Amino acid sequence: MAAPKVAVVGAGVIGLSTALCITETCPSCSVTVLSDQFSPNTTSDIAAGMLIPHTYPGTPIHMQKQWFKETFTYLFAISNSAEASEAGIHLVSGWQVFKNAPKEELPFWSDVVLGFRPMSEAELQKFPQYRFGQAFTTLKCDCPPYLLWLEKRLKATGVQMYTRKVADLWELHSEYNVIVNCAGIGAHQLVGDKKLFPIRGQVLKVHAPWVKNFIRDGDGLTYIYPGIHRVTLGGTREKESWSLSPDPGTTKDIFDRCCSLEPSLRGARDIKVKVGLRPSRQSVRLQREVLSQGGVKLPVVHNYGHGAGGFSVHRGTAKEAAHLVGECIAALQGSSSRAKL
Amino acid sequence: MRVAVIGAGVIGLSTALCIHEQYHSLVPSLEVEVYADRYTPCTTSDGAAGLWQPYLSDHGNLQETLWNKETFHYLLGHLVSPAAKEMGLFLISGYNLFTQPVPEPPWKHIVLGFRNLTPKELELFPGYSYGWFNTALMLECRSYLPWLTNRLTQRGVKFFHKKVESFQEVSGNGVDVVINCTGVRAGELQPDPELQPGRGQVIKVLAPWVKHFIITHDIESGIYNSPYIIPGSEFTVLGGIYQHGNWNEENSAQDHKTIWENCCRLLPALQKAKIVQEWSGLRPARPWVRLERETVRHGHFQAEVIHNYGHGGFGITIHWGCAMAAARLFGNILQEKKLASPPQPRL
Repeated sequence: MAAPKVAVVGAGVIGLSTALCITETCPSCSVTVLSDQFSPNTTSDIAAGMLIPHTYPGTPIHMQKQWFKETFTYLFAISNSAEASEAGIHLVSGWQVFKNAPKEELPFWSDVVLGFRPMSEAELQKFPQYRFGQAFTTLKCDCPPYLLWLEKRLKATGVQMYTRKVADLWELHSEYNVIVNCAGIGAHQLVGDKKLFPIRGQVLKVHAPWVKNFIRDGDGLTYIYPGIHRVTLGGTREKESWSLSPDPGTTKDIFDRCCSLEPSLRGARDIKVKVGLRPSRQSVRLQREVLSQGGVKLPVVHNYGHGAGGFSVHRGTAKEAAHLVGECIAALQGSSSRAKL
Repeated sequence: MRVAVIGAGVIGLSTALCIHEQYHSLVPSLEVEVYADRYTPCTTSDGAAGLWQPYLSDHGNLQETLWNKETFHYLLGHLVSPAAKEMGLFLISGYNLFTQPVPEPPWKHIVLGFRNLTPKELELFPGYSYGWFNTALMLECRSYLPWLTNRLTQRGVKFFHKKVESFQEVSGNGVDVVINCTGVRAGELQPDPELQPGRGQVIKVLAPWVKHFIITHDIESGIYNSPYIIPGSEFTVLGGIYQHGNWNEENSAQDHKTIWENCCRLLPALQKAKIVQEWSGLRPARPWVRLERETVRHGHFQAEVIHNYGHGGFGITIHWGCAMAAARLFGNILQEKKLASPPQPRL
């Protein structure tokens, strides 16, 4: 099959990184990205992009660790290169603090991040309401810069990107050989996945450039993540809420919670309020499927449902998705050569 | 009781504040005046990045380590106050890098979370095989000096833009105590062969993606003669120059090249940073800080002088401990003049 045509649906961090991995593993493929939204209007643009994994109850831990490790290693190299500022990747150190003893003393990712250790008594004094803590250094992917950098690299390899709302994957079967579904929360409608549900997150992006360390409450609800130009303050976890409108009461609540963790935030300026819907699922849907309709087959690779952990595992899942695309193409080439006999 | 503080860098202003805070209620006649030919943003303090970090060794000078510790704890206490932002005070974490193992520093237990670097962290810094990670404080003088000035102005302290040529000039004018915070140019008031300029040059860039300080050390070249990168609230300071005995306050193209190339090699991400400013300054270097009393006599006049200068490259790091020590010396003077009994010790 000359130049297999692959369509990637979705242009958030998952869609773009998956498209990039496909160009790397299958240089002969023609890859096109289709999405109704591009940066700065994707869910990824709202996220802080911190590399702190979310645990998926339905995915084996060793796999989640492998995805995280691949992603961390990949970004670590970029952060240490001249491209770092353009890609929006930078190291950041800080603390995760707990009011009650954490379920696990050592999360599965503690040996992937840098310098993971329990906080000292002196460090905990800065957080009087908290009794336990972990200190470590990790990476942050600032968006839009990271998405724009991915788009730039894709364009450089000849990948076309089109704004297009895909209502049904079958729309694409005549133009493309393989479809890669990175539609995020959009998969709820696109493929009718009822196991996928939104967890609404409201965040504030503020100007507070003196905040150089991250602080996160171990319950995952309150966090302060310093980015290149803005600090992300969060947040909320509202299951099954589809509302994209910022709520003013929530804004005040987030701000107050973050100020009690870091009082100097009272001096923060230019508060921007954003809302994103985490595409949540018990496990990331990362698998091949062959759709069938009236004798026509359509190979699909699903890569969605990363919930709160998209950035943390994006490169690892993108590589696996690219591998699955390779399998689809091999299967197509096998059946087409059989057809020739 | 008139007190003249000469010098308006971090040492002069903090000493003036400390003395006024402690004694104005005990000595109703207390009048504090500040004399300086340079004020913020033109002092040596203004050019410093503002990182709290002493030198690697105190050479057995435990007094200085104690003053550093007092300063750290004083600042840490202010971190949660609403004044922190106005003071230019915030926490920052970062790296100290070496090409060989070195003894742990005397300030290991003062900073937060001090630990050795892991092998993976060292991968970030090729050429360096050993290092430390810790969380310390930044105190940016372009904010701190104006904050001190405001506190002093509120207290009625008067400021004079004037180059004082001699102690007699102020003491002969009815001033009872002179606080000598003249930094690198103290030798102009009283020769001091121990005091030498430690010339430094820095490049200020826009690199807001840098969140850690990175300080390299070359044991052979000596302190600050190895590249360092210190991110502030607005700019990131690149440096690594220490020239003992060099009085030149002009920027040097050669030093610029050294700083830029070394820092970009240390942190490749800096290559895209925009250069905003270049600055040179003279660290007031001395084998140890001169913090002592002296009775200076000239003809019929005599004045009590408290010297507080020679803080080298650690003035911000040590300033409050020294201000308190100077205030204690001032208290002794008051006692001798029977103007006040010693104040209760400050908690």
